[in-house]
Amino acid sequence: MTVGWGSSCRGLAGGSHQEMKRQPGLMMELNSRLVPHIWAVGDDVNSSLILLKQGAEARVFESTFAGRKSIIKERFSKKYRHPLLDSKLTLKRLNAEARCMTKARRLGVCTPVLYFVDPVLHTLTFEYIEGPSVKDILLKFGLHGVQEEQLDDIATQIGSAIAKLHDGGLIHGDLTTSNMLIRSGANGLVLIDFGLSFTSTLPEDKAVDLYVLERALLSMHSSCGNVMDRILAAYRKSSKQWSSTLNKLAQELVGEALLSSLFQMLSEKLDSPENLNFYYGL
Amino acid sequence: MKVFEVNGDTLALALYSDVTNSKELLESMQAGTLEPEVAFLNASLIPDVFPVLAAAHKTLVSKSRESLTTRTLHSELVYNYSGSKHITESLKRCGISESSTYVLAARFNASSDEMKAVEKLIHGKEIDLEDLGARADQAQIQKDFSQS
Repeated sequence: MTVGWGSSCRGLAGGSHQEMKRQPGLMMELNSRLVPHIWAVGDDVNSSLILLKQGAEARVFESTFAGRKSIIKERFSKKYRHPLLDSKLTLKRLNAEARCMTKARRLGVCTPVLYFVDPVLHTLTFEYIEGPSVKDILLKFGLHGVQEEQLDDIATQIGSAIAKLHDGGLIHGDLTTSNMLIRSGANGLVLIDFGLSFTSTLPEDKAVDLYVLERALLSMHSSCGNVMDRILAAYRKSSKQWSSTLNKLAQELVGEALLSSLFQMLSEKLDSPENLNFYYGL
Repeated sequence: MKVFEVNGDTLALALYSDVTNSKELLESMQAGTLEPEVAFLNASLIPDVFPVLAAAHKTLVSKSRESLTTRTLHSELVYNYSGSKHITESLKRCGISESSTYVLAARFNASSDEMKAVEKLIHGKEIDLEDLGARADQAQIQKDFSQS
């Protein structure tokens, strides 16, 4: 990069006055080549890229793909990682996300349609879902009172969607209400962000998945009443392997209660080795 | 014929039914003497234009990086449409066969003269692209693309 800069500047310095004048424009052009490649993509399709969200792992843009509104998720490189490790990790996670998203679709859970995977620019392009997130809806309920019927419908959909994922051996990994959208018009639940997803058949992993959701619901939407119970009721109804998962979830909860009183208990006396293993196993 | 814009380039699509000379088309395509170069897709596997455009997008991106998997730009389109990594298999399944009668012709950045030439190449009846949905073989699509 630095070599490119140096040589181009030299070329300009040696040029005529007119060329000097053009320098700012040239600088901009060079700049646009240096900033993330994604802008170059935007120039290619002649469509505007609008930054919607920026997270720790990726940036999310709104764009158009072959005439349809789309979302582009770009995993950017982390400068603090070794370049080789960085490119391998980024690519692995990009592919994992694409795979999990399509696997969820195959299992009958609505996810955005994947349009394009670009392993060079580290981008995923997928369908734009029109509609509010479940988080927005539940927060509105908190402000203006709960619409029981709609809440019931949403909770049932969430429960059965998670049950389908888990029965198919897919763990979402980041089940929060902001990662669930309600498609406007059809009112169907759409799960997004499979960036932390993985495949597993262990009841422990599924229980942790549900536990994450429970914590998210408790911290954001406690004013909506007990949504988790409704979700679990739907989960129990749809999932064929619910009992082992819910046993584990119960253990998580018991474990949490135990952990909070762990300090007290430790000060009193240490339990038997098996019990200690139980705590650490959490 | 209809022209779509993908990624700054254009893709011209024309749908033909009752094609009688698919054997000759296949032979000249395999010999590389097809003029102008054009992609023939098995239209019964295409429920809508959009997936073709998505495949075209992928094709153009790999073309711009000089990383085509197949030998030509237009065979790459057929290959990308199939969703598999097996070239022979995807050309067989999503391209035309000797007995094909229902064909979608596609050409990148085609001039109107070129599309007229394509029209002459194919002995069949040109029909509207809107018919894709009704004529698609839903069962075969679900089987080939392992959708349920």
